Amino acid sequence: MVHYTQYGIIEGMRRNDKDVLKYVYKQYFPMVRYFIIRNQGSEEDAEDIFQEAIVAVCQRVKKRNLALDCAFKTYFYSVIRHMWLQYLERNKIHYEFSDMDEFLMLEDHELYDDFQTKKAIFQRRFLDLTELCQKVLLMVVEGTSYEEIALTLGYKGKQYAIKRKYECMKSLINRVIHDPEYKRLSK
Amino acid sequence: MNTKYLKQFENYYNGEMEPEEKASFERSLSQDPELNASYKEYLIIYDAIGDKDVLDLRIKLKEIREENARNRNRPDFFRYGYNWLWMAALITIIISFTIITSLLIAKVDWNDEVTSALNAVDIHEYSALDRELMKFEQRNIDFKLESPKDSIFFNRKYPLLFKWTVDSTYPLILELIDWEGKIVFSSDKPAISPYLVKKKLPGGIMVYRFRTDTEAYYIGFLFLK
Repeated sequence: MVHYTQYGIIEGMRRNDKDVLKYVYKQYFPMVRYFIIRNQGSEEDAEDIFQEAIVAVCQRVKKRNLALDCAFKTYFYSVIRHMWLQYLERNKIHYEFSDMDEFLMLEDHELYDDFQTKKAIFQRRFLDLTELCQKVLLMVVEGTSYEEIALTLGYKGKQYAIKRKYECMKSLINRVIHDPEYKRLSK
Repeated sequence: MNTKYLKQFENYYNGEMEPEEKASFERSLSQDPELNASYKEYLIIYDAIGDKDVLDLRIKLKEIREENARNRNRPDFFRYGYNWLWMAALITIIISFTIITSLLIAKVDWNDEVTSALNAVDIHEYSALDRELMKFEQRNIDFKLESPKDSIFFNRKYPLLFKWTVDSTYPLILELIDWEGKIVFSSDKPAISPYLVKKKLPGGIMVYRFRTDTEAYYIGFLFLK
């Protein structure tokens, strides 16, 4: 397996490079899983937090230059730790943290606020939709006209495209409102 | 957020509302906090789907997560993609080995091999001397030859004097056999020690044998001048 330097990882994350993402997953997920499970989480929580941490770090890398004066592992662990702390507090889960590494104190604004968390839920649930629904919604967001959508996807006409979009939106919202994290956020 | 306002939101977003309906909806938005909050969340959908970079990242992460979930359910050997190469190499080696072995087995016809080995025993050509000596079963008893001494190194001259003692009451016939397996001398009758062979014999290596009708009691060699 290829080994990436800290610089390689950051540059790979800037480009959403799948090989780098795989490398980060392979290198750091075991640590994350151990930490989350040790601190009242489950395997699935570990997967979710890991994924959100990657997204947060990638966004941070893309928006600003991420000049680390510590190892990437320490920074990544700090992000995971911070996100898990937010999750536990938001869900009013009593915790006594058992840390396994040194970490940086991060500010809340550096990572996700409620808006971003909801956006993340919508994005995750969007990816659970059928490919056709994803396509319809993506074309709408891109500003494609309903006539063109109908033509591209072989629908009878504009009205049918509008109806399909409505159904896809409804399916997405239903998935979101049943999302456990969304439920907790909406309390 | 729920779906009860969705039809309204869709009509508004798609620009399908009549001007009056649109104005009424906008008024409600500013007056009804629940409707307003729902509409704001509705708009998050467009923001979320429109963020192509993050969506692309999430698609990749989802794929990696699914790959890892699949790999976790597999035996270790299959966990990493490159193991398929090893697996393919292993299968190729096994198939090649099987083919080569089959070809070699097919080439060597074992039935023929066994038959020819048995035939080799059957058709082994023993010399005439061997065949002559094999006519009688060799028997180990106390037979002591005093004269002549076994030797192919010392020349013997006729007449040959044979002296022996034997712990048996069976009558023994003395025979001399040349290298061709031909009996050149036979006492015909049971010989008694000492026995003098008066017949003139040809030179060369000679085998002498004391035998009964079925068994050879003693076999030795002489070199006659």
